[in-house]
Amino acid sequence: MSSIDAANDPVLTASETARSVREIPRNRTGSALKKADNRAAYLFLLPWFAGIILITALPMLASLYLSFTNYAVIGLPSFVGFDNYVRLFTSDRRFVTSIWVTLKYVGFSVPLVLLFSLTVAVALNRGLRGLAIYRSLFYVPSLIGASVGIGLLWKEVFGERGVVNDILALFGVAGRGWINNPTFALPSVIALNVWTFGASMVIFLAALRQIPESYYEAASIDGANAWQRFRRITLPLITPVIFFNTVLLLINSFQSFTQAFVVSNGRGGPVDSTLLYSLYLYQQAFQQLQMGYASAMAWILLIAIGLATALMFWSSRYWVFYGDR
Amino acid sequence: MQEFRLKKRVAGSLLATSILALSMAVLPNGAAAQDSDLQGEIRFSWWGGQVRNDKTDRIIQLFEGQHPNVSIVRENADWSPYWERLTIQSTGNNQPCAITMQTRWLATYARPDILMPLDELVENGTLDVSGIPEPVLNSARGADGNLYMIPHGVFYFALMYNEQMAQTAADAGVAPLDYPYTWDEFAEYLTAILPHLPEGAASVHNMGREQDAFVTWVQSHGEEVFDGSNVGFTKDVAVQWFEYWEALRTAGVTEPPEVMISDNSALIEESNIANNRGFMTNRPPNQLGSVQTTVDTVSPGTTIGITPYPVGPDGTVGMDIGANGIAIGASCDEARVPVAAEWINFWTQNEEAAGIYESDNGVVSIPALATAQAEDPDTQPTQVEHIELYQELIDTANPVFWPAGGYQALTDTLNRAYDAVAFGQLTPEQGADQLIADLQQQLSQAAR
Repeated sequence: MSSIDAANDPVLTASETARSVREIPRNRTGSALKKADNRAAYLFLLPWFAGIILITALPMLASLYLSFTNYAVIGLPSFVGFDNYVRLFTSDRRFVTSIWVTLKYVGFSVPLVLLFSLTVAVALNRGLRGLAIYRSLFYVPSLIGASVGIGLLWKEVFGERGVVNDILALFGVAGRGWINNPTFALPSVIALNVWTFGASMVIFLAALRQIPESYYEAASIDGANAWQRFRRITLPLITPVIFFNTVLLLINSFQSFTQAFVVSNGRGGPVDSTLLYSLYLYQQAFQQLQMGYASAMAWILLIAIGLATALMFWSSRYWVFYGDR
Repeated sequence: MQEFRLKKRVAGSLLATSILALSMAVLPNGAAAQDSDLQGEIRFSWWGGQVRNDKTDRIIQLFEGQHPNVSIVRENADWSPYWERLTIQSTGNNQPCAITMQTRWLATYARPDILMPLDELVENGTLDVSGIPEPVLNSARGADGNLYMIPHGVFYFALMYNEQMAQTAADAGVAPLDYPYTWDEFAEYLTAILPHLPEGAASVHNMGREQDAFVTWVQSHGEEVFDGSNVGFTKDVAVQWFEYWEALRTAGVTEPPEVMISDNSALIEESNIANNRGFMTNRPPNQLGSVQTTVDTVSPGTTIGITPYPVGPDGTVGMDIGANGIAIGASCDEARVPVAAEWINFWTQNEEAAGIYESDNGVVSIPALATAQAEDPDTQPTQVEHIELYQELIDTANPVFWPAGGYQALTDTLNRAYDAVAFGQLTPEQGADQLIADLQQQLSQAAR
């Protein structure tokens, strides 16, 4: 019952009425406090709202508009409808090449990173002395792997006169310019990506440490060997984390740019062998100054990543075990 | 377009006579006269490495010393990032007041909303272009006929070679290569010299993917690289180009394709010519000083010389030339324009500034200054060689008109097409088809 209703109710005693009336300002004060709280919350959220609107939403809308224009950066955009999209799918040979190169890159690097990071995480989870040091050492490449500096280093390591060839020479194997050969350039870039497995490894390690030791003890008593324990206990229990890592790696791999840019001097060569989609998008935008065309490419990439992620979520019902279902 | 082509042809033939005539002229007067009333701050952008940065810095200090109320903000970048940054700045109407510009890129930026048309400033005497040959000045005009930059250096292309290796081969009986030589004579010489080179060294860097060399080839075979915003050369000339380099490659005269790519992108310190792994390569002759300095460290005792590109079968010279200069950004406000103009005058006309710069980015555009530099005992011998070869060749040069996006497009598409041929993925015919198709696509895209 509200305090106004109470004041008009003849059944109420005078003291009750008086108490109800006294509550009016108190309730009003509570409401004002709530409003003040909300204002404070909105104030704190304001930078985030400003960021999402100014840095993400508006540029996205602008990019969507530009994808329907011919915009050469210098000058004004002119509306061309779906022309950019039509040209991409009908007359751009390098667009198809970039899709193919990206699929190869994603198809090899995502499973390899998962495999590598899980293997190292399992090895480190065996109560190794100095675990924290190893964990940090393995994690460092994932912090710096996407940097220009590491790209340049990789270029030297896998170059004609690089360390890899020096090591091969010790075993009498003739080296080659790995980065400069269309057959080996992409595998070299994939190898660089696999080297940055640390972030996935740390997440796997955290998941492995959550599995109760008693499960393994019970399985051992039942006669399960190491492989069976891994296959029947570890793997099912970490499928949510495998799923999480896969989705993250998938999204990052589709957008991979820096490493291919650095090792190929921004050209995606030799012979377009490292022409990742993002690199081709960059070339269109900033080298050929076709910002409208590049915007169309960006939206196609967004849709492709969205579809791949949706596919992963759809498939998860068949292989991800959450333990509560 | 017809009128422009005519202009271009006239430019090619008039260039020499103008330069020779003007080389005897007296230096322009009063161009760099001190103006104590001048005040304000302008941004000046240029591309280049540390040597050029140091020289530019010294010239700026000299200018600021003469104009105490003027300040020049330095904006430097390497070659590729320079153009990317300028594009972004132009989009935001934030380009510097004084912008270093090049004729190969001019068509992309030659618009009144990006660069300020300078004819009026020339007519009212704010900008001093005295001594700059008319054809060189006209090369700085856009397709709309407006003057968009004041040229301060004329660049050309040539080959660098190891003089000691050439001498060793000559001592062994290989007849020296005397200019003018045809492409076939050039190939014969490179093949003959191979056995006399250090073990593992190639006679020449594989230039199948190099646009400077390709432009020279096309023009020396009587064709144009561009026809307005279209591909100007035939498939035949491109096929012959690829076959020429494939023949040299398979004969071991040039390096394998993997080395070709790494040598193309490597620092001078790592290049074949600096490390005695190659006899000859193509690098802009204005880099001769930097290359020699590096070679002095990496391979002491080695000296590097420069020689022109071969000529066509009928003796046609295909060498392209272009100009570097300074433009004024359209966003430069009225109060700063006089400062920018005086800075351009100082850069192009002041003898001391020209002496500091030593034709670092193209031979100084005023012939009298170029001659003075070549005769100055303090000028580095490599720069003297650079200037003298320019003066020898300039009357036969054939400047290319680069359409918007043309330089980037030719560089990219030639790289891809020849790499595919060299790695055996395409035949020379297929490579030529791909080159023409891709180049046309990029040119059409840029011209949309």
